[in-house]
Amino acid sequence: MPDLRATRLSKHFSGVRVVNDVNVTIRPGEVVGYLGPNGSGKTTTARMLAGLLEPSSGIVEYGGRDIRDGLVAFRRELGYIPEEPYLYPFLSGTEYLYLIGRLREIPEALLTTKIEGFLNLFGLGPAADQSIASYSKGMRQKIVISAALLHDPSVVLFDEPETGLDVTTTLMLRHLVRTLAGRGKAILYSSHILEVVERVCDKVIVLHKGKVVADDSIARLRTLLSRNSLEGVFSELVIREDPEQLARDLADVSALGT
Amino acid sequence: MEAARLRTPYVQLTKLFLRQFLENDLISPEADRSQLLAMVGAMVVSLTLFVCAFMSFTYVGALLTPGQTAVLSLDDKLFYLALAMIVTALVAATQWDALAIDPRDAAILEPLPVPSGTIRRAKLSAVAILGAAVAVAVNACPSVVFPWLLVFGFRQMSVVALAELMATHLVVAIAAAAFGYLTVVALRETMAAILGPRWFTRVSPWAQGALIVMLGSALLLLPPAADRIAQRGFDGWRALSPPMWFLGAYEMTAGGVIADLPRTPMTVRQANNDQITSRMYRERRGQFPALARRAGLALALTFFLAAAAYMWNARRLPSLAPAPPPAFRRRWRLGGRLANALLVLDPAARAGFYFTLAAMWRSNTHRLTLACAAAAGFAMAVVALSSANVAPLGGPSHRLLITQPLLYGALLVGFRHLIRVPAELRANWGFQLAWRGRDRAFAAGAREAAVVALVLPALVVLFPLFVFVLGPRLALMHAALGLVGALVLLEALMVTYDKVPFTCTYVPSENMKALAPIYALAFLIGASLFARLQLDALQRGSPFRALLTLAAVFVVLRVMAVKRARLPEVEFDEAPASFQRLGLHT
Repeated sequence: MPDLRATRLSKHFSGVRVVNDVNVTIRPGEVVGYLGPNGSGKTTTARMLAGLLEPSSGIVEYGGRDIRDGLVAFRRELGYIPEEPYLYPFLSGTEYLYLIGRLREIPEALLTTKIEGFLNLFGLGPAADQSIASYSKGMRQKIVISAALLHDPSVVLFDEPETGLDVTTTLMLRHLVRTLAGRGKAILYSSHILEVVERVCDKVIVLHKGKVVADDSIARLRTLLSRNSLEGVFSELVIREDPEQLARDLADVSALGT
Repeated sequence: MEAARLRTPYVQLTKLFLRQFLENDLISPEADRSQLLAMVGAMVVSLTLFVCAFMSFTYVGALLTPGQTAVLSLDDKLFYLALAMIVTALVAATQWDALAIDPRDAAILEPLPVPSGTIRRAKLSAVAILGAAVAVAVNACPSVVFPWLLVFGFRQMSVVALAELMATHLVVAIAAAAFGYLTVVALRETMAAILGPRWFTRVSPWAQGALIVMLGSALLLLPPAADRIAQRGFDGWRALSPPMWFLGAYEMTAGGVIADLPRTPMTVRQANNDQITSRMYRERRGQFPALARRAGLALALTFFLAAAAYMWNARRLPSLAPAPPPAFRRRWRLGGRLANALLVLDPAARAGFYFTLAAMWRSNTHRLTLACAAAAGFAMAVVALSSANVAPLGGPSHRLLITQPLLYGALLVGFRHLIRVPAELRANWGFQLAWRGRDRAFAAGAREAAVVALVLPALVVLFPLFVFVLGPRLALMHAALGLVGALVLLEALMVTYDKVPFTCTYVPSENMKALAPIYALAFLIGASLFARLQLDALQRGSPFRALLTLAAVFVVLRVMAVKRARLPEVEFDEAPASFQRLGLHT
């Protein structure tokens, strides 16, 4: 299976550079963690890698070919789980999965089997025929994950997938990521939950204000920065303020006037 | 002090609820609401001013006597009263869900330290302000211009009498508007109180759609309905029409201002006319008090019912999930199997078919658009039928046959518009990722959904009428020809469409204002030609020639669609051309 490679990827909105010269390579069987604080450009990068957003400069290649030269072909191999699970609220979970499966031209009988499998394994069976408008965020996220995996993609981009999920599903998701990697899928796992990234990913890319500030295996980063956890590495690279002092300041602001 | 009052939770919430009336899928969240309001306000004022000036031309241009004016003006007064009633009712119907506290609002506002009574009062105030604003906007111009032009030629009219006429027009028209508005509120709230949240959630969208169809049709049928009413009289079934009740109130209050004007010297012919019309007015005058009483009673009852039902429903704020929403798939399983086996065999077409059906009926914006199209279709069909021969086995006529293409044509034109409106723009990423470039197959599925959900029901609704007038054999032939005609029309409407229905950004046509009248004219000419074709087929007793003509047109359209140069790739997030020119897009 081919690599997904982004070279010197940049994106600016109205003159503001959100992603700046980012290089990412994801190989089959590899889970790349993509870390960064809020607003660091993680989602923008993931959307450019998925071909949903055109880069201002730089290139995304899959198997050595620019994905823009064959977006439809690239997306046949792609599964994408966005941070915000926006879905059609007037469809039921089952209807949404049928819609996506039919658009992907999965044979009807196989599609039905797959959909029933996903819904049952995710515990969505009882709500499967209800409108998505009545779903919790976690239920929507499960539908999005099912839709992303319906066609057995070779590349999966997880953009903060654990948002809204319960503990059991989050644990299952970690195992799922490892299992998919074990089956040769190339995976980007964007998150700000350091513990999950530490357990799941083979290497991490740390992003700060749109720029890559670290790109290596977790073990090497720990050694290089003389820290014994990813949290320590992240603090060293990204966090400029003292979190404890910041927390005290916030509590003080809340108490003003009382 | 004043600033503090403006910051109270009640005022803030009222403003919030008022802003929500302007929020819908067609208005961008970043849109300038002041500009939008100014535009809508200007449009209403200029439209009513134009209608007033146009309708009052008779009173200014001709030398009418007081008797003639009193009789003739009854039509126009009825028109204005019915217009005020229908427009405010239509506004209430389009804001159907926003008339009561939304479960989402309750979920957000309930945890705040604001008494629930304040939230209810604020919502009630916002609903009242909306109704009052619409009533005033619709009636302001006619209340000044119409009475003034009505008595323009009467030098004997005093300024005080003119002011009395204007005030009466304003008050009665606003009362009629209030009646229309309150009727919709009362209907909604009574339904909610009787059905409970579970059933109301299911019934509500259909009730709203039916109301819009009814009111829209009534609006379009208003001009022919408000004609020669003095000659037709005010008794029998006419006395059951609400605008008539308010006309009674109007005449009770200010009818004498014109009818009893002192007569100035006039010619013999004028004197004769005045005598005849004055007698006619005097004969009708006796019926006005009963009609006026009915108006007062109806307004009071509607107000009482709306208030009682509103208060009953507002005992507690609605919860976010009042009932498990309907299980869609179970209901349609058998129909789905049939469609999969017979209609939509290709996966992309299947996706288009089911997605179109869901978007058309379950998305609020799309359902409302369809309801408006259905209203226009019904109104045109009724106008055509009103002058057709509908006697049992009366045989085919052009005016009878045209009802069919007018009804399904309006629905299909509405459909063509609504496929351009995204069902949920933020959710189209799913389409973008799963898209395999099968836009033609997807659009074919959407077309089949339009035939199943719009054309067939329209043909079925009209079928009994045609069986009654034409007999079963000709009615069947007529329905079959109608179906083929609908397929041709759909093909024609979709020739230039190369996007993915319900998913791409809405890019308004930049020259629609100029082209709309031409399109409307082309539609009417097309419907008329098609009715002629059908008439010829039915009179011959053989549909062969008509089918051949339709098949030829269909083939030409299909070839045009296939040969047409298309974009290499669908652009889901296309910006309007002006944005692209200025480089404002991404």
